[in-house]
Amino acid sequence: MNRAVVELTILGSILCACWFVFWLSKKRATKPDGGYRSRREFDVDLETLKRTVVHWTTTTNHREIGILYILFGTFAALWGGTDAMMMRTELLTPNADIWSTETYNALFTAHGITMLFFFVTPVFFGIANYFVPLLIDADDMAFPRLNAIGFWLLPPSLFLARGGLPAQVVGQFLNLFNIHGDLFQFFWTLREPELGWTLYTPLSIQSPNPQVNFLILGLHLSGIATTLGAINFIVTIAYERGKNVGWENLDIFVWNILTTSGLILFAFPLLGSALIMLLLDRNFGTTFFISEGGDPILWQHLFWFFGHPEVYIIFLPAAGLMSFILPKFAGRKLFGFTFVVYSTLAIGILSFGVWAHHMFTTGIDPRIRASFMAVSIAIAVPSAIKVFNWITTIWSGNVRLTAPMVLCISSIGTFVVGGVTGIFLATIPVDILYHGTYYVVGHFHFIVMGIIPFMMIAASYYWYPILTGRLYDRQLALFQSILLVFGSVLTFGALILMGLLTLPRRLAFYPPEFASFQRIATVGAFLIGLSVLLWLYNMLWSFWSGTPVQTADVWGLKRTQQFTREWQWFERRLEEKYGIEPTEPETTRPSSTTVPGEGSPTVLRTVEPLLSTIPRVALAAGTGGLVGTTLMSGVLFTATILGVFDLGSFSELAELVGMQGVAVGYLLFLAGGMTTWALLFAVFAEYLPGRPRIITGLAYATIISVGFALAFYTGQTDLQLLAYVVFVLIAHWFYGFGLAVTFEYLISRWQVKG
Amino acid sequence: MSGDERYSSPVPDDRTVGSLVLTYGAPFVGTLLVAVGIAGGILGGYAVAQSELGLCSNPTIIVYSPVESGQYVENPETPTLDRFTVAELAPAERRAFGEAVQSPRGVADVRGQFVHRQAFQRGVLVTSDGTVRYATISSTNSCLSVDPLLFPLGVVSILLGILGILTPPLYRKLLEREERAGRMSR
Ligand code: HEM
Ligand SMILES: [Cu+2]
Repeated sequence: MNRAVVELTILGSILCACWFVFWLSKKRATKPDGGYRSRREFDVDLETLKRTVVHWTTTTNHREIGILYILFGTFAALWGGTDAMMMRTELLTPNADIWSTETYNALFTAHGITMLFFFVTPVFFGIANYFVPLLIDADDMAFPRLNAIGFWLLPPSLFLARGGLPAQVVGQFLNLFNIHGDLFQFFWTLREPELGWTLYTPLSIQSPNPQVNFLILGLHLSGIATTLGAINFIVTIAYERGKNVGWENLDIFVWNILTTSGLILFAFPLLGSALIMLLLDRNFGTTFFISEGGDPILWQHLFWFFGHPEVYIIFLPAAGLMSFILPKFAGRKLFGFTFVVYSTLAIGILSFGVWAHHMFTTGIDPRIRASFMAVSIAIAVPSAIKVFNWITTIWSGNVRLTAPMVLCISSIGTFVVGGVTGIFLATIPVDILYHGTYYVVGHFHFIVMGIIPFMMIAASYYWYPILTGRLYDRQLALFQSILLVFGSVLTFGALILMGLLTLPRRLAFYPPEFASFQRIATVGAFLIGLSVLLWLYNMLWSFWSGTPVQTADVWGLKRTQQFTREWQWFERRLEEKYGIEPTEPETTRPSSTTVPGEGSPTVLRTVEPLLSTIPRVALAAGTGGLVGTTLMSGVLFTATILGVFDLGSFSELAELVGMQGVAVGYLLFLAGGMTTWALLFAVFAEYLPGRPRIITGLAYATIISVGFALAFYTGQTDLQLLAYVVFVLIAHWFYGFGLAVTFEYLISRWQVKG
Repeated sequence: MSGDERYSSPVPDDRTVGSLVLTYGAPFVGTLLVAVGIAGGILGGYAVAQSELGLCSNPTIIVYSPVESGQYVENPETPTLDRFTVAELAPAERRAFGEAVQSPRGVADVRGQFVHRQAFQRGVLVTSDGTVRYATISSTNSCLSVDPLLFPLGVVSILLGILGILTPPLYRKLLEREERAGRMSR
């Protein structure tokens, strides 16, 4: 099918639909039903239009440039998303029969490049442009004009990179009107490149498609734009902070933007140089990446030296948003703030030392490979620190399940899946097996979909009142978030499964056995697409028709003293513009309170008393264990009489330590019940919050009974087996009961603080 | 938005299970139906359209430049490839070959009888005016064949799905209406 026309038609229809929704909602909002709603009304005459255009193309205001960035990035996301949907459509059937194989190759290349370079970074730059100056109490960015230049370089670079598509459509139009001739050869020649976003040599040098040159130039230009933006952020954060904003009370989001900008500063110039070398190789006869005189693998080294930091350039701002938004809806301050900052910085540095894990299969020296494997696994540690801190922040907190919070919590889950599958890939033998399969695609999409857009959408909901002065449709937002999460897990979970069956990636066709997996993935992808459209609808419709906010404290942040600077700015603005008085909640409490169920968890606080009380806790646990094991012995004895439990299994226990006899085995059993299991319980009982301890004890015993049932199983069958299981369970409940009650009694008796 | 609603979760607790199902469950199932419907509808619809419009079954061939073809001509490791002169090619093949040589990207569609398809599949060496070029099929552009029922089913599924998605606003309207009616009767 004619891909270019189809794609531009889809994209055009989405944009038209957006405009229509926007227009309709404005028309409805300006009904003459009182002054308030028609606030945004303005006359559309030529003069105003001209003024608006001039204003938006010449603005140097950081908030307006931020909005431009966000609009541009959203457009790129829709374009790259259309590519994705078209790929998934192709994969509905095992043959390449909807698009040709060439079209499929062009699709995944364009999709990857558009998403990574023109969607993620611009949107995050937009968010940062808008909010970083507000968060650090600066008037504007340090270099407002540079800021504008940085943005305005992007549209031409997108056009260069993806010009193959419009060129093709123009060519077909010319054909339609029977226009021929060498002059227009250009339009019949350009096609979107089929290289993969990594532009691997030698293919990228041999490919005769002239569009590859434009792609390289476009990427180069976008690199310049990104670097300019990064410089601006660094200078702004370092020198434009307000009086009361020091390094010690810098926001977590700002820290992340700072680190990201640092990474950009070192990574993107390198990409630029490598791209120029590629351009020279293609057009001017140099041989940097050609095997006669140069080395194709050199491209991979240079590319991935940029490429891996790029992975964190797109991830860190998302992590920053998570660390920023999550605590607001948990009523707590971010747990372990300093550790999260350190982990961010550590990622920033380590990310430059892992690039060769993308090249395990290219035959580099095994010793070098091994060291890259070690660092790659090590880089998981800072990310894991973040995850643990996020989880601890919500742990028994005052969680409000708003749409942004649902996205935050789901992102933790999808990020863990993406991260863990990544650690496996960092292991050389696993990588050698799964390199180039759908496993890789599934892995990185759990990150590039499962946390990056999730957090962007969460931020768009969270800050929507600041951006527009109105609130979005919350019910729709919640529904949209759930749909997005569901669709993503369905799609990319299916990809991981196909990858485990080693289906190769980047192919338009596949063995028919995979058809049902692929179809599930496609349906999931369509769900993602629909949910994105719902989000778009909500954003546009609510811009005119949402409920105007009556207070700056939309999320009740004042109650937990988390009313951060951007909201304070918003409050001042509301008061100036509309005379909306600041509100004050009846009660407030600090977000770092230690009251259980409200403030931060008390892990650090309990370590200290624990140290001084460990002997007593241990003794209490041991005594509890003795009581519990004795009770348990009674039950087991009964079971033995009934013939469902074999005492002989105790002697097997004795054999484990090299001795014999039922008695020895029983003593070992008793010792285990008093030490290992009892102490484990004491540790858990310290940390498991809330519930009465007896319940904890019973639950704990139930869990460990599984291990016992397996270890002491002596071939019972049928009804005997059932009886065995039941008796084991009851025995353990007795154990848990005795243990918990004794433990609790002794602890309170000895006044050990729990 | 009233003052206290701001602090509560977006789903107030007084919601019944029934209304939860209507506000979230129905549109969820609806979107699922739409997604499945789009997949089925595209397949079914395209299968009809492609044969009508002749969108398939013209394979694309790629012809390498003489320099790139060198590796296939001299290399003793590559399996022996069939060799043709331009004159030996079938008319459609000859036309495509000429087009591909002209084209900066080296590709062209074979429109017509593709006599030496098997050979092209493996790769062939074509001699024209003394230069040898390597040529092969780069895309078969095979035709899609699916059950004709798929298209109507897809459309029905989409329609049903849209109904599901629109349940919450419809339900809200219904409630408002009932409330108004209730107020009037009171
Ligand atoms: C709507 C959700 C998305 C879907 C359904 C989707 C689907 C796909 C598919 C089918 C492929 C090609 C797999 C293959 O054959 O190798 C792919 C590749 C890729 N995607 Fe996505 N994707 C989505 C979102 C994203 C996002 C948000 C990003 C980045 C922020 C992204 C980045 C990439 C990259 C870098 C590639 C690799 C391209 C290459 O192989 O050169 N995708 N995606
Ligand atoms: Cu990497």
